[in-house]
Amino acid sequence: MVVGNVRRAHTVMSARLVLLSAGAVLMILPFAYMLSTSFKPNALVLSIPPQFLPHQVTTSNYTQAWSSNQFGHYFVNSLWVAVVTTLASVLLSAMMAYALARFQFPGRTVAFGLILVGLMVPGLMMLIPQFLLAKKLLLLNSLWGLVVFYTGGNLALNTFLLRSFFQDIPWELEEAMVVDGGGPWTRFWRLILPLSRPALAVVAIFTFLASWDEFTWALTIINDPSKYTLPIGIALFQGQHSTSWGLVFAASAIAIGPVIAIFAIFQRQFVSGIATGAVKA
Amino acid sequence: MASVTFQNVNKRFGEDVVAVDDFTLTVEDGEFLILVGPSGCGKTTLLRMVAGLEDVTGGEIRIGNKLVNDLPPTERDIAMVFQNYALYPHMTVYENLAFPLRQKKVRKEQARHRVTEVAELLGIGELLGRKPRALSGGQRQRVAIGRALVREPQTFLMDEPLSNLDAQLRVEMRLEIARIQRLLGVATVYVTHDQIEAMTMGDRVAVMRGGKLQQCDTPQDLYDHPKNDFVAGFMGSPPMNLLRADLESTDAGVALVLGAQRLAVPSSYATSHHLPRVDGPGVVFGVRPEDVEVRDVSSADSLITRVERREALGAEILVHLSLVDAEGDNAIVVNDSVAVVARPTMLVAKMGPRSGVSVGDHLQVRLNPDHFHFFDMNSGLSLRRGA
Repeated sequence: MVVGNVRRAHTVMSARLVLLSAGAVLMILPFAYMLSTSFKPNALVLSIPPQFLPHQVTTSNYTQAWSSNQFGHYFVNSLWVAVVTTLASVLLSAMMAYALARFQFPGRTVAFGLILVGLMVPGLMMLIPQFLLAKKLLLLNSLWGLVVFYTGGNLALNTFLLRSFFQDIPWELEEAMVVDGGGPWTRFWRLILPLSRPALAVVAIFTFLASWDEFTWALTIINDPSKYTLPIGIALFQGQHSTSWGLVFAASAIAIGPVIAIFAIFQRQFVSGIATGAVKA
Repeated sequence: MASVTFQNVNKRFGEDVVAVDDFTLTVEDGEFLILVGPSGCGKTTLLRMVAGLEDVTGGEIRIGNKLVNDLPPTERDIAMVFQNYALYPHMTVYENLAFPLRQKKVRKEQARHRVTEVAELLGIGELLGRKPRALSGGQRQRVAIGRALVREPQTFLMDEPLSNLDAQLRVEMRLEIARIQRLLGVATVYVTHDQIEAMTMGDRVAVMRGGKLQQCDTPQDLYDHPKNDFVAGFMGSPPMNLLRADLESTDAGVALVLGAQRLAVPSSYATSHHLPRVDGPGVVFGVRPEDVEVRDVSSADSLITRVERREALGAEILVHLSLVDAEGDNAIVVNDSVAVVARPTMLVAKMGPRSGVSVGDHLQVRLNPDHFHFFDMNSGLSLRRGA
């Protein structure tokens, strides 16, 4: 009986490993091929049979990508937009979430319901109304136009996530701070935010990724090439008649750098944030 | 430092729930008052109202001469110790202790001096650099007390601060808190449901039930002279034996009718108590377990009982006795509908650890006639004159 159980456990474990390996290969393969292609000379990019490991390695795609089309400038634009959006969105959504989680006020449930509705509307449907609004606010063709609408677009999800986290922070801690002389601002800055680092890391990563990768809105409102962001810059490498894939992939690999850096910085907080949410749910 | 005065204080949650009902009491300056009562009796709500964490529905709360009903917690000059410590987990012990001073804009040097002083008083000087998660339960509790002490408030409020500690640590901290309170002489309101804490720590104990103050007295007076059958049954461990009994006239005076048995009531009780007429509704008769003694011979002040259960506690044995009728069977003494009478047919006796009693033994027990208690059958109030 015991031997049978052990054998079955081994079989289940092996099946799991095979499935996980297959999944991992599926996920990693395109990325690995992108990296591999980014190091190939242009002539070998579409060679048949394809070379997974380039026979001839070159970094010329990287130097060319970085130096052509003001790529470095686009990179800085993207970084600025993503960082400012992340800071603004996390701060505003944390304040909204705190109010919704901890204060009683008329219309609280309605306000939260409206935020949830915001989560359900597809982004593309908002494109034209947002464009008209941006025009009225004189935000067309401006990086602030990206920051303002990216921030607004991320508020709903961030507020939803943070509100749940804040609700689980024990009331007694806040009451202790009330008795110790802490007003709502003090409690927010000195208690709620420090205790919510894992959740803040999660929403910061989500927001950074969303604003770093965003293409459609940026393409819609930005006309001035000096204000292009990285996704537009990468698209510029795709020509009407031919595309130099080596350059595109090298540019994409460069674009991934900050994302990996953000993950590396927040990894511990991020994982514990996800785990905390899972356990509490 | 100041007194705390409750004047006809009420607290309602919604229309139906009355948490505190017409509560009037003064905690004198420097006094250590214990609020005790069963779960849901309103003691914590009352404490939170003093702290400003709950609104007052009606009545007045004053700290010193200042009416504080509508003052925010910060302006009440109180400090509170919470049941679950409520230490700020992301701050070190030092930062936890210094936080209230920082909020009061105390200069850094002065704050450091004060924090060090309090840490030394509580024996946590070595822990100042640690985070709360690196502390034991007892150490956390000390830090929580320290955070209250550091502010030098007019009033201390403590909400079951020892309930999360193990038994040994609880004894230690009980003494420690009492010592510090005496040392500082600050009016303290301490909420607990633990009777030992209530009896050993406070200058006075206020017993609550259903939001109402039942009695407030020194621990010994509360124990010896409970004003009603609830206080009698609540204070003491094990609680007072409460039996419903009729009164009967005998040649020697008055006797209690307990099933088939009679127990003589000393004549002194006729003058010290408002005993009802012999043909009246009867009384709730009370006697403490330590006043139930085993005897060798039968007498007018003894009862025949059978041992139903024994609980050996080491230093003593609690013996649960049932009254026996003339044939030696268990008597159904009472068909009791009065809820306060907890054990209508049973008596609990405290006996020495070497008492060789076994379940099923028949015992002749004498109830110490100097310590009888009588309560009104309907209202539950003590029948003692002047109570």
